[in-house]
Amino acid sequence: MKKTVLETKGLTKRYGSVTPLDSIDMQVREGEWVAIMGPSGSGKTTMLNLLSLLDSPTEGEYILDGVATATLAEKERVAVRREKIGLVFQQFHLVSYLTALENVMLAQYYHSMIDKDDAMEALERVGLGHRTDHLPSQLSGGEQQRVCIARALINQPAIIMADEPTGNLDEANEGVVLELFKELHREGRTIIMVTHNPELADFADRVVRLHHGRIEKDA
Amino acid sequence: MAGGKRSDTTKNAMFLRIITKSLKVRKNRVFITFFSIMIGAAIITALASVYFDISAKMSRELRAYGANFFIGPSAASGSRTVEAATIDNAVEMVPADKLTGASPYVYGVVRLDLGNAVMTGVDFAGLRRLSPYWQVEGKWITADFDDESCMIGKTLAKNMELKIGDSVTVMRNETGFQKSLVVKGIAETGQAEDEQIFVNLPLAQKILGMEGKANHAMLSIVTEGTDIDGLAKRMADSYPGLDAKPIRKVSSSEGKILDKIKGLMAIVAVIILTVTTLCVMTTLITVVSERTREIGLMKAIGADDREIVRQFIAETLVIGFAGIAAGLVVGFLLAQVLGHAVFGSAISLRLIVLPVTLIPSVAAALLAAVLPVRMAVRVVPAQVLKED
Repeated sequence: MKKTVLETKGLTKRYGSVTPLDSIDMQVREGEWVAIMGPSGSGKTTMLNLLSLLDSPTEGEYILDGVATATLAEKERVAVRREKIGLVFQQFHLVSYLTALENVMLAQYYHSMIDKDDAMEALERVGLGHRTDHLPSQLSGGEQQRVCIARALINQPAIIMADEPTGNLDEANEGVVLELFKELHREGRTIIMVTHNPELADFADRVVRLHHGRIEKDA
Repeated sequence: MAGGKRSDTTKNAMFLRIITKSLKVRKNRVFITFFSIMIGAAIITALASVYFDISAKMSRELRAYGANFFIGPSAASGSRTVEAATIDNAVEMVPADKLTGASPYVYGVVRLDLGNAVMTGVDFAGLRRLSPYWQVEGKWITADFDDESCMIGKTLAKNMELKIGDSVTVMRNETGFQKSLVVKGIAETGQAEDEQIFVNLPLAQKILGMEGKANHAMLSIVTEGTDIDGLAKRMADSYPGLDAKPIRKVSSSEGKILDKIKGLMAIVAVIILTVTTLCVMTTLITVVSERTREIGLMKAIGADDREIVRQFIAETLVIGFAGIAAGLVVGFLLAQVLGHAVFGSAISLRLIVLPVTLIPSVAAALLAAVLPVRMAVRVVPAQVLKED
């Protein structure tokens, strides 16, 4: 039995009278690939924000890789996020004035120390060994997303959390990124991915469907 | 240990790289910030340079308004004259760098061709420094041995129908002395001197039969850094027959004018700093607004508040120090322009100007950064990263 890397109990987020996420109980084991799906407004993004510690819950517990995070202060949440989570965004979010290599090194910089060779290796790994000195504006969408994935991987996080990672990509690039995620999964990485794309969800071990802020189906 | 040190260097190198690239990509905003700080620092440098030079310069400048120190026979001596040598000795007591000008005076009535007039014997070199405001037509008498020439007050010249180059015969009834002199210059002073005739002291002494004597002396002394009352007392103590005193009206008003000018400059400096701070703050707020997504991203991938503060303060300081450095140079040049326009002389570079410009300018830049940096720290990544 693989260990549990993520567990939530009654995880709830409220904004006044609105409850975008309501009493989520969920466990994710090491090496699992979980897809979170659901219609717009079902609470996917709120859930991913809570799971990736970009936001804090109104109620409930959230244990990430052995750390109870629900009551952490902002500063400690930043530290846990830095340590344990690799983020992949739909809009890639690269720093426009830094090269591909520097964008990866930026995550090293905030994490601990910088190792240029490691950063190069991470870019080679996503097939961008020849584009390291390019600025984001000189890269295609697919290439930018691969830089974003290299950046998410660089600090060896316990979990990769991805928000619609292929949402802004054409079909060809979508395939490349999907292959990368499959490879990460084969390596035993834990992946939580919010997606609208059923094809992407097909490769996941589990699909968690949300509806009105609650888990409708978890299979 | 060596490894740790190396990674620190790499981290610092990365920090510098982020800062420089971040500044390069926003050249316009950086330039506006740089320019605002430069203008502020330049004006403070110029004002401070003038301020610290002004006391000496203004004091000398105000000396152009005439003598401010009197030496004459004391009332107790009962005499109307003193030995010219005693006056010379008393004048020697004034520190050389504080003495702008000095001249003994001897007076007497003489007859000219068309009537009587007061003849004044002076040291022309000293008189010229005492009275730079005299408007002289023709020339000043420059040689102190010149006993063939005279200068005449404008009113007297008109009454006696004398022009430059004319000869005038001077007679003294009591001594029977008679001499013909050439009018070398006609002086307009706006004062009693306009009705007098001026000759070299030795000649006047001879004509008036007052060899070795003088009625009094007038001095122009720089008041800044001089204990003028103490000086007067020491002179009177050293030469009991002498009365030495500052001419109060001129001396004390100099100080008041200086204080007012200094106060005015301080107000201007504060206003300029305030405007600079506001301008820099507005620009930085715009920069932070433009960069919310970048800041959100940095936080999302692990930058804590301290790191965000560090980056923004570092960027502000880089621009700030560059602006201040340029401001010091421009300000010093501006001070020269002011110096030449107002005092007709260069303003010297004083080291005190460096901290006086640096400290308030850096403080203004940091103060301007407070609000924008707080805005940056308050960026919520979950909010800004979702926006399209």
